[in-house]
Parts: sequence; structure tokens; C-alpha cells
Amino acid sequence: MTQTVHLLAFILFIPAGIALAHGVSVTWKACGEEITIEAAWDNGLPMVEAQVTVFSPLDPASPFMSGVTDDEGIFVFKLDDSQVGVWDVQVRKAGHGEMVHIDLSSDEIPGGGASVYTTSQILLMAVCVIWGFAGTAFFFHSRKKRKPDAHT
Amino acid sequence: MKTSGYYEKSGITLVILLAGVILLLVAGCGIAKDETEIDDISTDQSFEVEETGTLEFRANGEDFVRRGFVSKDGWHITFNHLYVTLTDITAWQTDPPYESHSGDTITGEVDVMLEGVFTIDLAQGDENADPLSVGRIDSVPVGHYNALSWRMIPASAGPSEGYSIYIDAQAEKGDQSYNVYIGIEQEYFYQAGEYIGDERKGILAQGGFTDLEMTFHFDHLFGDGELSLDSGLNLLAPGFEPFADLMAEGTVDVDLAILRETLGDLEYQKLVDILLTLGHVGEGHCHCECL
Repeated sequence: MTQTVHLLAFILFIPAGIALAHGVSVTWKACGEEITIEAAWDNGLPMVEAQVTVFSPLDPASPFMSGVTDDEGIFVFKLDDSQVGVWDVQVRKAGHGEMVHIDLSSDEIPGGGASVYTTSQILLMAVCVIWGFAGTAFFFHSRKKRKPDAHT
Repeated sequence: MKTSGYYEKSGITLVILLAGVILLLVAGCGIAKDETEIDDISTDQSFEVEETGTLEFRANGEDFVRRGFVSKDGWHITFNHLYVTLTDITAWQTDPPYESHSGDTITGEVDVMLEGVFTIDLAQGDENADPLSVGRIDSVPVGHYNALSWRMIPASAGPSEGYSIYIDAQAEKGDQSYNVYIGIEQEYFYQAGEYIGDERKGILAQGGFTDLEMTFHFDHLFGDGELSLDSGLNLLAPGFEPFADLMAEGTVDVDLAILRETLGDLEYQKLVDILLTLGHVGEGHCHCECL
């Protein structure tokens, strides 16, 4: 199911990810180089002033940047797109925390950190879906053209 | 009568659809292949890699276990000893990162197990003490150990014999003071992703050192008097009052079997549920199963 969501996200060009834990939900979405992190408690209330730490692919042991979420549990930052690979973002507050993984490697799905599909596989599947629609359209088109023959 | 043109077009359509199915199957095979490759390159303790470092496993009951704390219902609890017995402690390198909320079993490219059974007293040391070292392994493969699993089993000997968790504490409220002995005989299996906390753990470089931490949140059991009663933690925590009600001659001495018989159904279920949440990796949650 998760893989299907990631595939749909890819097809619609809306990179997105989610991480859930007991008590905490952290989601992210990308718009170009800008990443928006949204953190909430499991009752839906935003995690206000939660501590956010971003780790880059080139130096995953040291924070790339840090900050806190706003009153809506949101934290926005810009990636350094010269660093290809997995960006990790940790969000925590009051003894609860979670980490999300934003994969910008060339052969992985943007936003699909937990996916096992490669880009080539996804492209192949997308082509197949389009091909399937085209095939169905041809089928009905051929039936429509056949009808006058049936009456003669 | 169907024309030859009709058959021709239907044939083309069928070919197109079949091709699509075949391509989807090819893509599916590719996914299965990836998973197999991950399994195939798992390693055991006999490492034959050039780049290695040292990995230490630690256990932490957090400072409030070492200095004592006030439960959600106003009992001041100080721990003389708080034993947990741990085994099958295993560090993993997983790709993609393990997500504990998935409830899946961890599979990783590299796994390193600390051999042995370890009974640890989480109450050791003062409030500023470092987490306790459970054990370390030299010459493990470098990389990012981003998942951790362990079992918590009944001790076979020693002061906590028969129990995976054994609490030896003092509880005081007003002029009441109890000796508290609570044993939990249940066995648990914890699986967790990456450590969540002040520092990033588990990244091991050539010739370097890193550590991983099994963290136990006992405020989940008794609640936290510094938080409001309607906080998430306190709503789920049984508190100390249910145990105090079982006091006999200034002592509370119970285990799960006794608690099953003496607590109400709802209170007992609340206790059983919260015991599953004690294990953490820093502030990161675990997937926990009763064994």
C-alpha cells in the first residue's frame, strides 16, 4: 500500500513522505529545493516548538542545520541540491521523536525513502499504465468502427 | 460478420495489453530481486572486511530513575535497584531505514550481535551518570548502524531471578512509606530504528568508535508529577496508586501473576499495555512484542 502511495506521488510529481510512531507523526513534502516538515502528536495537535535537526548526505554525523517548528508544527528549510543522497530530519519534543528520510539519490524515488523501486522500474511501470490506457482506447475504438458492418 | 480488419485491430490491442502485463511482471521481478540481494549480503559475527571500528551497546534508565521522581499521583519514588535482563542485542545497518511503526521484522545488510545475557541495574550512578555500558565489540564493519533490536528475558539467577524487569524502590507520600518490589516475568522483543536524541549515534568510521543505546522510560509506568494529569503520558500511565492499594505491612511485593489476580481488568490491561512502551532508542519508539 505504501509503495502504491509512493508510486502515485511520483506519477503526480508531488514528492512526499511520512513517518509515524507511537505518539508522533512527522510528514514532509518538497517543492523544488524547499522542504516542508510538519510534525503532530497522535491526537492531531501540532508539535509546537519541537526541535528539528537536519543531517546532510555528505556529513550525516553532524547537523546541517537545526531549528524549531512554528505554532502549526511546521518547519521549512532549503536543501543543498549539490548533495545527492539521503537527507535525514529528526524532530523531537518532550521525550518523543521521529526521523524522516528524504532520498534525493539519482536512482531512487524522490520522497520515497522507504521504497524499493528504482527510477527505471517506476518509469517502466508508468509507461505500462499509459500503454494499458491506450490499448483500452484502441479496443473500444475498433468496436465502435465495427458496428456499421454488423448491420450490413 | 467480423472483418479481417477487426481481428487485426483486436490482435494489436491484445498484444499491447499482454506486453504491458509482461513489463509489469518484469518490474515486479526486479523488486523481488532487490529484496533477495539484501538478504544475501547479511553477515554474521565472522567479519571479513577491511574497514572496521568499535561498537558499544549501552543501557539507560534516564536520570529520573537514578535520582528518583514524583509519580503522576504524588508518590515520591526512589529506586534502590531497577534490573532489566537483556539478550540478543543486535545492531543493524538497514536500507531503507527501519520504521518501527511498520511492525515489520528488521532485515539489514549488516547485523552485529552482542553475545550473552546481561542483567543491568538501571538505578546505578547519580543523576549525571553516563548510560551504562552493556558490552562492546571490536572490529565490526564500518557503516551506519541505524536499527537496534533486543530481547528482555527473565533472569536465570541473581536478585531479579525469574523476572525480565525487577523494581526495588521506596515510595513515599505524606506519612506513608512503602518498600516496593515489583517483578515482571514477561519476555519482550524490541525492534527500533535510529537513536533519536541530542547526538546522532551509530555512525562508525574506519578505526572509530560509536555506541547505540537502549533507553527505558519508566515514567510511562508511574507517570510524571511534573506534567498535567491530562498530558498524554499521564493519561496512559497507571501511576503508583494501583500498586499502593496492594500494600501489606508496609511492603508492596507483587509480580504480574499477582497483579493479574488483584488489579481490576482495566487497570491490569493498562499496565500490560504500558509495559510494551518502556523500551526506546533515546526518544525514538520501538516496536515491541510479548514473547
